[in-house]
Amino acid sequence: MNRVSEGADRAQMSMASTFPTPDHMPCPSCGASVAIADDFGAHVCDDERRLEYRLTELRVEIERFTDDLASWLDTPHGRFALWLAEHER
Amino acid sequence: MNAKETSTRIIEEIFGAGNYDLADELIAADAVGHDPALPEPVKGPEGLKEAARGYREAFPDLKLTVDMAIAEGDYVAVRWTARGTQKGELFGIAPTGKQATVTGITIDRHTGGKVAESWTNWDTLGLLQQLGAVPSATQVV
Repeated sequence: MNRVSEGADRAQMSMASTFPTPDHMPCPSCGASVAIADDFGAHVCDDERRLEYRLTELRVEIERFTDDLASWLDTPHGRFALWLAEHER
Repeated sequence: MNAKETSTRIIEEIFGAGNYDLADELIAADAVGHDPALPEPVKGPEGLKEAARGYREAFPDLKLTVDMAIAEGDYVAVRWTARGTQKGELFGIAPTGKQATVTGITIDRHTGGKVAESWTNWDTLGLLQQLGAVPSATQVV
């Protein structure tokens, strides 16, 4: 490790020691606010909340998929797929 | 309604439940509110409604509870806890879906049954850490 990176590491450690830690932090799986004083391992994720959290995390991908699907449905292949789906319903 | 009740209702009902019209009843027309998290002072009932709407649009399920209220003369100090899930943008942070719990203290100056000035300090850094916008000590070390 060179001197520059040692200095940067020391600065980061020093900065971290001055940062207070909040009483609560979100559960990494479901985003629920959990008191740090409690045993974090005792927290049990609610399935509905975990799904909602995951959907929020994936909102950009979901939006992109929706746009891509709308674009594809406007192509000859897409229009035929729509017609076929209606026909076979 | 005494001053403690007025200060408590502002926190719990306007910010904590979205009852914005209550601001017309509890906030003086020329009131000024100081919140270091906001770019400029909050002015009058309309300013307070706008500030509360901003926080509630970011945290639609926002709930605030008053943990303690102390009154002396025209002043009321209120210690509160806020809990909510970030579903909208706040301070440029896109929705995270994360829940956060923060505490704060507001001191109100009352005149004529309404709040004329208030000073709030709340755990902005704790909120940013909980939303993942700033690393917490445990994440950095």
